[in-house]
Formats: sequence, C-alpha cells, structure tokens
Amino acid sequence: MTEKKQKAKDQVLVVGAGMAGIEASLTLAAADKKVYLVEKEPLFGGKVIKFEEVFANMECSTCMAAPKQQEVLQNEKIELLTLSKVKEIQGEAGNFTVKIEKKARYVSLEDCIGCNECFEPCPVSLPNGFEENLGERKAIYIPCPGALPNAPSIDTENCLRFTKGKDCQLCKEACMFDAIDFDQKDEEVKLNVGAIIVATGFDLMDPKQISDFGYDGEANVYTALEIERLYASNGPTEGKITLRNGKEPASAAMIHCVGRKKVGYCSAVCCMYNFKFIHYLKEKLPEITLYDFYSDLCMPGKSYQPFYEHLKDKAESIRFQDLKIAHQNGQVRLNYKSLEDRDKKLDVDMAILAPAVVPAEGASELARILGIEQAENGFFGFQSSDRSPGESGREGIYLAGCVLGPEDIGKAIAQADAAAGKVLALLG
Amino acid sequence: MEKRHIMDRKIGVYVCECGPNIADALDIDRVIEAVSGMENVAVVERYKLMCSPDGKKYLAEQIKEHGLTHLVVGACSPKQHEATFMAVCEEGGMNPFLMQMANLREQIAWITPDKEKATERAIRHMKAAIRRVRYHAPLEKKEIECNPDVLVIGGGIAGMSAALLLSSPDRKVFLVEKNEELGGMVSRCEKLFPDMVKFFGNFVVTVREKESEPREFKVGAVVVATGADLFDPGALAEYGYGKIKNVVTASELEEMNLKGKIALEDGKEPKSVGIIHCVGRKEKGYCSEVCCRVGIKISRYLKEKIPGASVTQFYQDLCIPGSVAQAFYEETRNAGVEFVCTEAVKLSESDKKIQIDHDGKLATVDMVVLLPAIEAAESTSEISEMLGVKKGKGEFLTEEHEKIGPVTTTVEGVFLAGTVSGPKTVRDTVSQSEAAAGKILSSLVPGRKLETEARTSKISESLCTGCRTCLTVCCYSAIEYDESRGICTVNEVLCKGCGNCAAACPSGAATHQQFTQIQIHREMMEVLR
Amino acid sequence: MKEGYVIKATEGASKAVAELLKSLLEKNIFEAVLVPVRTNEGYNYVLTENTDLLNKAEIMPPVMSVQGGKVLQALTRHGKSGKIAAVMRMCEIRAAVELSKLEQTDLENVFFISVDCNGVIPLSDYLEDPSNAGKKFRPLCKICTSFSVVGDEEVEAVDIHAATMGVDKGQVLLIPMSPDGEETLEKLGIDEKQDTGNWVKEIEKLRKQRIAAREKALAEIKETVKTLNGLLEVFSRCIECHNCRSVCPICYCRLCFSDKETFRETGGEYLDRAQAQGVMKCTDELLQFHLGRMSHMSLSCVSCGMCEDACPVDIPVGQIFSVVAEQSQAIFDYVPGKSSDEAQPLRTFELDELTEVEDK
Repeated sequence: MTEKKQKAKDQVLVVGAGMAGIEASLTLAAADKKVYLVEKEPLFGGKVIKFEEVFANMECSTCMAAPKQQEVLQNEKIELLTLSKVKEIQGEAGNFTVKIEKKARYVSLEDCIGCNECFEPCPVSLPNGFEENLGERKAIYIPCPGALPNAPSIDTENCLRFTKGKDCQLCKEACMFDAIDFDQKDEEVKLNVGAIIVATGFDLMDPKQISDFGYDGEANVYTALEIERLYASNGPTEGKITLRNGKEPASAAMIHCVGRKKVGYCSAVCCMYNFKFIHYLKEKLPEITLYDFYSDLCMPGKSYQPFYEHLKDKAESIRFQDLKIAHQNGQVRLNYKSLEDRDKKLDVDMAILAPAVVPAEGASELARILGIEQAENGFFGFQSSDRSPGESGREGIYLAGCVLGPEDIGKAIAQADAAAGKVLALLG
Repeated sequence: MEKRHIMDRKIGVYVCECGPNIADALDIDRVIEAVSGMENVAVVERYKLMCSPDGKKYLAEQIKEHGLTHLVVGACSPKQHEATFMAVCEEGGMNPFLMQMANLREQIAWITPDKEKATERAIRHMKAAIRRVRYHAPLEKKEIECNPDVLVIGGGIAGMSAALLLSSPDRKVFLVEKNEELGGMVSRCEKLFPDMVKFFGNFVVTVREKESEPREFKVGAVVVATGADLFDPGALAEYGYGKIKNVVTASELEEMNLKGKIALEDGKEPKSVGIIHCVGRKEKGYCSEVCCRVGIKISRYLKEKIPGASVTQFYQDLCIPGSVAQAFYEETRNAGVEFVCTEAVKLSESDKKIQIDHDGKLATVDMVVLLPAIEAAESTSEISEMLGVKKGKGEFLTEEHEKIGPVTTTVEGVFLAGTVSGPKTVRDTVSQSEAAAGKILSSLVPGRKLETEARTSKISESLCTGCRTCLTVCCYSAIEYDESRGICTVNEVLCKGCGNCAAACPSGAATHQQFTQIQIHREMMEVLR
Repeated sequence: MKEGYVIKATEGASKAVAELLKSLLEKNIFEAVLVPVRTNEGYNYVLTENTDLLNKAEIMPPVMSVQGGKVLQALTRHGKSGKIAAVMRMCEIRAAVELSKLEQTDLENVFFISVDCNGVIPLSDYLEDPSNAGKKFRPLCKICTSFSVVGDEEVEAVDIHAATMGVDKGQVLLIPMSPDGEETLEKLGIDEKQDTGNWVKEIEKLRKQRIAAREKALAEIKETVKTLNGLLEVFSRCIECHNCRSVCPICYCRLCFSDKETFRETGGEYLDRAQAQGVMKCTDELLQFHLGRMSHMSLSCVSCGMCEDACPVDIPVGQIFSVVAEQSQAIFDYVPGKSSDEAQPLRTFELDELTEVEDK
C-alpha cells in the first residue's frame, strides 16, 4: 500500500458539525483516526444550539451540547474547519481526494480570546440570521453568546471593506491582541481521506411559501425557531416572550403540520417540540391561554407520550383539517375546519407555526458533489428495509442525522455512531 | 506527620489578565497582595494571557524554577482551560492533579460591572483555591489491558447486525440466542415496511451457529439485544381476544401469512377485516411507534392476498413520522383501505361476525386484527439484575441518555440495541446495533490499552462499616460488597467519579479523591467567610 | 381488638415474665434469652440460657446503663445470632431496628418481647439514692409518647408485648404482635385470654397526657436554642467529652467526623481566620460537633435520652436533639424503627425520585 493510501486510511472527513457530526467525530477520534470536521457556518453545533431546552427531559440544550463541543475543540485528532464547504470529491472508498473551500474568517483563531471588544465600533448593523432576524448583529460578529469557536468572523457581504472598498479599520483598532487580519484569504484545502460521513442536517420550510399561514415576519405569526430564540436565555430578548410590538401575549396557538401537505410527509419532531413550547410559554407567562392545533399526535417511544400527558392540561387540544391564518385588528385569526367538517374560527394574540423539516440548503449540490442520489423529497439514502440506514449508495460514504430525513436527536446520534462503526470496519 | 507534609508545600499562584476581560473588571494587584502572605505560597504573579503558547511556556518554566509542588491559576472557566493547564503541569514535571483553577472570568468578571465587588470575590475565590490545593494528592491515570471480544445477547436483527459489523480476524464475537433459530421478531414477518421487501435471509447464513454446551468466556463488552414482547390483548375485555372468534393479533396474522393462507377459523377467507390500533396503549402509557405502519403493511397483505376484501383501520392517532411513511399510508388509502379515527373501540360477537363499536358508531367485519403495544420482554428483569443496567420507563432497559447516549448505559462496556430499550422500527434497531458496534470498534481496539479516569472515589477499609448505602446510590455498578471483609470497595475502572457514594456515606468512609472532605472544607471556609 | 394471654404475676411482673422466659428455654423454643438482671452494681443485660439466673431478671430496670440497641449491635454486628428472645423497652427495640437498616444489627433470629415502660431514672439520681427510682425520671421519659405499642406506636419488630399498665394487679397480659409471637404463645399452652380494652384505654390516657407535656416541654427547649446565641449559651458548659455520642445507639461510625483531620486546621489558617473575624473562640469545634451529629443522626433519633443521662454537665442535649429529630423526621414522614422495610430518607436512590420532588 502506498504511503498516501495508508495515510488516507487513518483520516476521515465528516461533513456537517451538528450533533451527529460531532458524535461521529468523537467516536472516530477515540479510535485514533484523524478527523476533518467541515462546517459551513462560522460556529458549530447545528440546530440544537438554537434551543434552550430539549424534549422530553427538558434538559438545557447547551448544557447537553457544550461538553461535546469542548471535547471536539480540545481533541488533537479532530480538526474543525468552519466557514468551509466540500467542493469536490474524487476517488474511492479507502482513498478519496477531497477539495474543501475554506472561507476566510479574517480573525486569527489562535490569537483571538473572544473578548467581543471588536463589535461595538463596527458601523454596520443588520438583522442576525442566527436569531431568526429577531435581533441585530454587526458585520464583524459572533452569531450568539456562547458560540463556539469563540471568535468572530467578518461577513464580507456586509463589511464596508469588502462591499464598498472602504478602508474602515475600526474593529482592528479595537482589538488588543492583533487578532484581526484583513489579508486572510479564502483557501482551498486538499484532503486525502479513507471515508466520508455526511451529517449536514436539515432546514425548516419557509412558511412564506404557503400563503395560508399569513407569515410575513411582521405580523404575530412566528416559526418554531423564532420561538426558540425568544425563549433562549442567550437570545435577542434574553428569554422574554413578546409580540412584535414588545407586549406579552395573552393567548397563543401552536399549529402543527405546516407544509405537511406540500411535502407529503410527517416531520416527526414537531408534535414533541410543540409540547415543549407549552412548557416554555407557561413557564414565562403562567396566565397565557394556549391552543394546540394538530391532526394526529405523533409521539412514538417510551418517553414521549408520558411527556405529553404531563403537559396536555395546560393547553386546549384542537384537532383540525384545513387551517388558514388571517389578520384581524391586530389579532391573529385562525379559520379552520374541525374533524366533523365544521367551519370554525379562533382569535389569538400569537400563532406559532411548526413548519415541515426539509433538506438543508445546498443539499442537491452536495449530492451531486458526493456522487450519491437524492430521494424525490430531497433527503439522502435509502428508506428501504434491506439496507443499513447509513448507506448512501456509494461505498465509503455514510450518512447520519436529518440528512436522511426528519428525526429526533437520539436517532441522529445512533446513526452517527453507526456510520463511525461502518467507517472503522471499512478502514480497519 | 500529616502536618509536616502540609508545611512542605510550595504553591505557585498565577492570575491571568485574560486581556481586558479580567484585568479591567477587577483589581488584580489587590488580589495578589491579599494572597501573598498565605501559608505555603511561594510565588504570586500576574500574566497577560496564560493560555497563549508564551503563557504556557512561562508557567512550565516557573514550576521548574521555583520547585513548585502545587499550582493555582486564577483565570477563565476550568471547562475552557483546565485541560490546558494540567498539560502545562506535566510539562513542568508536576502531577497534573496538584493544580486548582479559580474561575475569575465567567464567575466574576463577566457577571458584575462592580469592580469593588468583583475584587472582593476574586480574593475569596483565590484564597479558597490556595487553601484547598495543598490537600490535593497526586493521582495517576491507569492503563488496563482490554479484551476486545464481545458478547451479543440476542440473535434477532439487532444482535445479528451488531455481530456482523463487529466481526473481524482479531476479535471474537459470541452471539447468544435462547431460541433454536436466529432472526427474532423480524424473521416472523413476510415483508417489512415501507418498501414491502422480503427480509434479508443471508444474515442467518453468515452468522455463527449456537454452541450446545455451556461455556465460560471473557469479553470486553456486551451488547444487549434481547428484544421485546407484545402486550397480551387478552387482558382487556373490550377486545374479546380469546373469546370472540376470528379476533387475532398482528403476529398471528403474520404467521398465517407465512404459512400461506389468511383465513377465518372455519377455513374461509375473510371478506371484511378491521384492524384495531393502540391496543394496550392506555395501559402502557406510551405509543409503540411501529404499529400504525404494521397495520398499514397488514392491510397491504390483505389487499394483495384477498383482493376484494374490505379493510378498515381504527386508530387514535396516526403515527407515521419520517420521510416515507406518509406516502406509504397514502398509497394504501388510495388503494381502498379505509381509515377511521376513533377514541374507544369495543368488540362484540354478532351473528357469527364481529361488531366493532367505535365511539358509538357500529361496523361489522369477518375478522379483526389487533395491533398490541410493544412491552418489555420478560427476560429484561433478569438481564437488568445480571448486568446492573437499570430498568426505567415502561420497564425497558434504560439507556445512558435519551438524546446523546441512546446505545450506551451507565455500566461501562454494556450497550443496548433494539427494542430492549423501547419500541422502535427495524431501521432504527439496525442503526442502534451498528452504533453499539461503532462504539466498541472505537474503544476496544485489539492491542490498545484503556485509560481509566483518575479522579475516582475510594472507600477506606478501616472506616467502612458495611452499611452499603454507597451501593444503593452508585449508578455505574462500580461498587461491590466484599462479604468476607464486611466492607464495600470501589472498582476504579468502572468508577466515573460522580461522588454520589462520598456524599451518601454516613460514616465518611467513602471519599472522592479530588473532592475530599478536607479539600471541600478548606475551600468553603474561605468562600463562606 | 387484640386479645392478650393472661399469666399470673402474684410476685410482680418481672417474676412472671422470668417464668415465661424459663418456659421458653426449657421448651427449646429459644437458645438463649437477652434480659436485664439485677447485679451487685445495679442492672445489666445478660445473654443466658441459665434458668436459675433468670430469678434475678428485671424486665423494667429503673436505670438504663446501656441502650438495648447498642447491646444488639455488639451481639449481631458480625452476623446473626442463634435464636434468642430479647426483653427490651420500645426505644431500645426501635434503635435496634434503625441499626439493622445500616447493617449494624441482624435481627433475623431475635424475638422481641417489649414492655410497657413508665420511664427510667437518671443515673446520677440513682447513684445519689437508689430509692429515687420510680420517683424521678429522665426528662425525655417524662414526655415520651412511644412507651407502648398501641395504635400509631405499633412497631413491626415486636413479637410479644408484655402489658402491665391498665391490667389487673397480679396479672400480666401477653399480647401477640406478630405471627411468630402468636405461634410462640400457643406453644406455651396458656389457656386464659382476656380482651385488651382496659390496657388500650390506659395507654391512650397516658399518651394523651404525655403528648401535651411533650409539646410544652419541647416548645420551651426550642425557645432556648432557636438562635445561634441561644445554642452557644446552652452548650457553653459543654466539655467536649463526647459522652453523648458514645452512649448513643445510633452513632456507630468507626471514626466520628469530629475526630477526623477535616476540621483540624494549621496555625496559619487559624490565625488568618482570627484576623478576618476579629476573634476566634478556641477551640472552635463545639457547636460543629453537636450540629454535625444532629445532621447525621437526627432522622434516626428515637429520643431515648441516653445522651442527656451521660452528660456530666447536665446539658439538656437529649431534649434538644428530640426537638430537631421530631421536625426533621416530619419532613419525610419518617418514623425511625417502626418498620425495617421503611428505608431511611436520604439513603436510597430511585431513578424516578427527582420527578417526585419536582412535582412537590
């Protein structure tokens, strides 16, 4: 075996640094494999770090994720490449050549201590995507308090230096450690790996795609992720649940199955996180009146139904067929059909949509690069019973997490370790 | 004797400025002044950025230069840099457990703008760390030989999947199955959802056959894949199971189907079939996840084998999560299977047929197929006792963590796969089996030694009275009662250093080596001043 | 209503029970008996099969020189005894049961015969003048509500109760309290039975008085110790002899926390503390000892009063501990020694425990 091939056998690429990617990386590193963990965002942790708590044990989400993240950062065998995307893959199982496009952060990860002093002087303010646009950030920013790696990045699409060619150095001047370097360049990183694990996760459908739900980012109709950020103690309101005008809602309705008809499948986690929202809302606003609009309750497994039983008395459960949202005198009007086909309506202060879980942005492009097939609904892998779930169809490339389809964290972690197992069995 | 040892300590105290983070938030010089005169303190310095390469080099050199025996670093959170400074200790020739950090950043500088308050508190934290650290004892990480062989209990799809992924020339896998045949529940189905393909029989061939005489062997890990049982609908009067003719369970129908003919008791084919979901759901208190899809699968069998039969499903909630289950359901519905949502179902005999009362409405069918809940297998209690894995929700075995530890358990080296830990689909079962295999492949590498946790608990032989309180509070099966000596002992390999035993011990015989009573007392005396 | 087996007690209850014990030995129902006997020095527990010695038996010795629980600990700590019958007071039996939960006694082969107890005399008063017996009582005995086995006060471990209060003079009622007790009384072939109505009435009457007295006395004690200064004052004459700990049946640790190095600081540490506080009392371990002991054993305290009896400087330590024990046991709805199946609070772990606490 050539030296290059031997080296490749000891190296693995993991694409996507959410919970599944993190788990796979740690299991592979423990087996003495060198792991390149590639993440497109400037921070890692996936969607889970956007939540304050997770169902059904209502554990603090960051407390659950942070130790694992720290392990990744401190593990010598794992190299985390943020602001990075896979551009090309060639070769075969045991010997893949991978090209990674690594965007410049413009901040040195070795020198920056995460003191946050560079934000204040930046003259550019814009809505913070991580906060679901409920808060603002600067052009040099970290997405949220507690983000890891704890160092900012410069958003070249908004920084005056890059958009207007201005010689603005305000952030650099504020930095005591000389950690800001405008001369950093985007890089192409070439890797030689024996196997690849894809754990690129999911996105939530943009409810704007369905006019029925009256979501425009201005009215008091919210998506699940917006509620997560409102409730989050490190979020834009530091945990206060408010309407767009800052007032507290006296009533709220959770709407399940938003976009379900369009995508043609059940997103598996929304019923459970809506019960979690009952807990969230009652915790912050004990007097709030809650309505839970659902078609079927999907709460499989030994702990989910007991969780629901615990919370169901705190909200009125309404089984519905069609539902349309209109706006009426500052209130949110829900027009829906009951199971008996009767037309009903209900006015609430706040509506919370549970949008369908859809393949992550860029999935098609990634599938093409990986040389694997996507299912019709855009997810990867095979949903058949005569194959192991982690198989992608291309030897040496394995899948884990929501890239396979909507599912909860427990399933994603198991798939991550399963993929790692397959890699270890393949590479020896 | 103890006193003299204490007086020999030479503590180096270093306060990191952490840039402006700590330096601007409190008066470091005052802190330094406050601790300089303390017993055993040999040197007190401040430094700009201790975690930088220069800072680490400086610290290692300081240890050697001053012949320091202990170290206190006032800086950021131990979560951030405890590992860093422990490595520096080793660089400087000091045992890494003789170091204590005081968190001046996250716990002080970052939570108050009041410089005076911050300084006061920083002084207390530093003093507390200094007071405590001289009672630290050097601890050693141990390396133990590991046995890479694996025992897999249960030869169903979970056990077989795990065994297959684990098997290699340098690792033995022992697959134990109580029945005569491998395959478990899945082999008793003709097809599996959602794609209705036949079960992959080649598994049975490649896995080793069961040995016939009792054997003893050593293994390094155990995968528990003993499966689950089905709830007995006979316990519920409303379904008439065992009393009304032609009321069968899903597994009985699968058996009929495998044998070649789905028929009523009189041998005729049923013209109408009712499939009842959620049988036993209320009693068990959870949803068994797979039954809705099994029900849909069965209706496909029926439509396929008895075209013209009318099939109606009676369900409470349709549980069809995931990217393909709904399409599976819609196809079936479009093929003419009816789905009726109902809270309660009661069966009664009516004219040699079966009457289904669903929420007051009535339907009459020739045959009823019940979908019973999945419940913990009878063998679970025995396995739980034997391996020390606790039973939890639904009496299933408990995984280490619902979200981030689905296949590991609190007993190091014991893994769970499949329905032994709760109802799940074949797909998820295979994931879990492979995950257990993955974890084992990663940690039990033939020829490689295992490093154990150094910060474990210890039980003093002379102080232990054998009350066994520690045994009841240990979640990791790391404590054993030695009958011959009448005392309890800690297995240092299994011990994860949680400290439950030390906290619970009524006579102070159990201590956590990095949280001894003296260490905690000294720290508290300063903090609570 | 339970029925009692009547035995003649023309020469007093002790002689009657001694005869009972002799029968038990003669019939080989037990290998030995554990009972207090009168000695030259006073009263001592003996373990014996010698029926002659039983002529000196005293089932209600006026002094308690050692707690019965401690005696059983010495006898069964390293393993079961043979089958023995033990005659003891309620507080002693309850202490023995508490110790069994800590694996410090093994009561499997111990058959308990309990007695109606009207209290014991403080050792110092007895030594001064033995005839004070029956006239002077331990402060805790005077307010004891658990001196018998009626109603709430039933203790599972008791096999036979020898009732003397509210019973005709010249008689003792042997009340079977367990299937074992019933079986044993049957073997003795005692014919005469009597209903226990009068006994129950008498016990309940006395209990009512005691409950009122206890409330009053403990409220008074509580007043004196409810502040730190109060505690310091009450304990100011404590000489740290640790007698209270030595005689306590529940204190079984091989090395008490107060004797460990934990609280022994260095000169520098003490001086620092003195400077920071302005002054430091030397020694500073006094209250720490009592409060520490309280937090360690108050959940199991049976208010027997041995500690107060043993205190050379007359600190009402038993009453103080009883005040705290009552409150801490109430938090957990826990009655020490009542049932060996009832685990001591804070010494068990259940996976579902946390949810219970949350819901509260």
